[in-house]
Amino acid sequence: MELKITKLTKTFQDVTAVNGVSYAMGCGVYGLLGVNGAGKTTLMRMLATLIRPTEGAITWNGRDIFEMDGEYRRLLGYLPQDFGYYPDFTVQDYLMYIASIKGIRPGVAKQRVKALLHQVGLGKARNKKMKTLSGGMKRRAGIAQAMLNDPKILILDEPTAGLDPSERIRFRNLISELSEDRIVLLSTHIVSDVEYIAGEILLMKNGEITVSGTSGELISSMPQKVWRCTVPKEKIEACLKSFKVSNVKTVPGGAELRILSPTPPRANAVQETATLEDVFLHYFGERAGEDDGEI
Amino acid sequence: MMVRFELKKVLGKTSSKITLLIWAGLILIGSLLAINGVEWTDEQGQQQQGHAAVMKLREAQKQWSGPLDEETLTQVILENQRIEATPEANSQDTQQRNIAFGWKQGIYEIWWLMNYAYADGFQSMDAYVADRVTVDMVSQFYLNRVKLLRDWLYDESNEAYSLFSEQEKQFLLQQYEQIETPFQYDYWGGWNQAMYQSFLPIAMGALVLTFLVVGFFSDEFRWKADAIYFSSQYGRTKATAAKIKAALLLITGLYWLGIGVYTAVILGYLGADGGGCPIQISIWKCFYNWKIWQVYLIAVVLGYIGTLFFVLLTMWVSAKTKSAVFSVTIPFILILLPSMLENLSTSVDKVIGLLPDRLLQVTQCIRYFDVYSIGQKSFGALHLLPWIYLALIALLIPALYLEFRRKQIT
Repeated sequence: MELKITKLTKTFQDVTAVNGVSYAMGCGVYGLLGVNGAGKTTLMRMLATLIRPTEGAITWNGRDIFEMDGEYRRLLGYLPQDFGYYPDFTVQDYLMYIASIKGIRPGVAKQRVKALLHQVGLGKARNKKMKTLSGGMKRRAGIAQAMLNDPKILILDEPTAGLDPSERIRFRNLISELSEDRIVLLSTHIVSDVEYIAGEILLMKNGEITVSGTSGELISSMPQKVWRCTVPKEKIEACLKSFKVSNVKTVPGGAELRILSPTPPRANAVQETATLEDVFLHYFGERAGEDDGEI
Repeated sequence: MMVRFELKKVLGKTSSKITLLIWAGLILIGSLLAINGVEWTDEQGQQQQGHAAVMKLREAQKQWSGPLDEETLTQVILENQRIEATPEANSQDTQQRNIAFGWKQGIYEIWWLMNYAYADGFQSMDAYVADRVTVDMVSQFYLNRVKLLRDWLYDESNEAYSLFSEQEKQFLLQQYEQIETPFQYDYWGGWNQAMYQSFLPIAMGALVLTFLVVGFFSDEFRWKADAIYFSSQYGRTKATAAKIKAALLLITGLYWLGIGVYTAVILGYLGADGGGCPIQISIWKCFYNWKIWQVYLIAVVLGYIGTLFFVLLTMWVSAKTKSAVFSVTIPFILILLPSMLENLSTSVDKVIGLLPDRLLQVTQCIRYFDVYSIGQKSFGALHLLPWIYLALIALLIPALYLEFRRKQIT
């Protein structure tokens, strides 16, 4: 089971959204981390055969996915970032329809829908119209549709966007449950979404995968150390300009800063254990977390 | 399964429910207008409508049913002369003249044909010519029809002289000469009204039905359901085919249900007599040698082909542009296009005759002298229109399928 991306490039007029990406995925959960506009959605859309690459190839077990066509999509479950649905369908009808276009026979689909509705906690809402569901419930219906065909490749584009913290945790746990024996590629710009569930994390910036590895590998490979120090009020601004600061906590007379630096930024600095958020800050700098549009 | 869900997607929308109500309203209004369209002028010169009026008109016209031969024409002329000689017909009082008209209702349609048959020229119309016709002129009734056409086609002072090629002129003359005479005449009020009001269920119906199905493809984008749809196994194949099937099924079902109800109500109420008469008892100059029932059948079949064409074209544009807003204007543009073009140049007249709006108004177009030549053969527009648009439909279906097959979701 291998999904392989080779020198994949996608250009929209004069904007290169994905630039020469190569990567191979086997069974497991992959977290695609990057700021908005890094090219995550474009990469995922190519993996979902929604758009064709300008250059490069995507292969499943050595075969081009665009040539495999429906045969590849039979293995695919996809939850787009902007999850759309048919507003006048009930949850049950919606899933039965998606099952039909996924080529699942009605008898099998009925059983599968019932099981998935139970698994995502929508059993009682099955006769509700999709348009009446809350944001969290819609996302759960979204993951249920992606899982209908028991996909070998599950692509989830920003699945936790817009969810409250409790829904997000619930969703993360659900993805963990569903990740056995398949490739799960999960894109997000929220570090905590992938920190605990992704085996491999891919950091994407300006259309390229800049670094990848496990959470521990990414942290240990970061060429920066993490420091905590207290700074007087008048020096805060200077510190913010000179260093990458991952956290500012106001304390009496100044602020306690969490700073990324190869050497101690101040005499009173104490070294801290680095986290994935620090890695994220290191690679994406001050743009991390900005909402500058989706590419 | 997929087809059922596609229908459910579209019919579940509030806008679709409103559209269906409008469509049902069109059928109802069309039927009501038709059954109230028959009028009878009674012995007091008062106009009546309703079932009693229909029965009286039917009874009056039935007295003249049969071959429209010299004997019948003579009787019609004599009857007309008798009525015209009455004080009521010559009175200055409208009421009195209405009474005289009431006596004429049985022969009125035959009398009206004489205005064309004995006119000065093919394009002339004098509503009182028939009053001047005498019994010794009856033998000229059918001969004049061909003579007036020939004069019109071959007189250099007429527009028709240069409008038609020699081959087309011969085709028109042949059509005129080949028609079986004497014409059969009968009461045909039911067919007349069904054809006269057919604009509502056919042309307006096509617009409404197009509106109903315009979202079959573009709604996937409007609802942002496209990414899941296209990433599914059959999104680009069977599911797209199911959309086309569902749209065709819906249109076919609704169209024929509507036309069926409309026709059954009108013919049931006004009677289906006279269907076997030639259309020329209504449209004297018509060069299509069809019976009345055939014209109605052609009108509704071409209306169906037209509706299918409008629907498929609109869906194709909506699939291409991902928007229903612009697409839904397409049928209106196509219907208005001929009136915009005809003011431009006379050279586009030939093109206008083959535009798709003609499919929706056959009962009007059957009056037009739209003739086309392909090699050594000439045809009327109504001979060509179904084949042209069936061919275009046959192209649009795969085009629509391929449009979704290759769609990129950026």
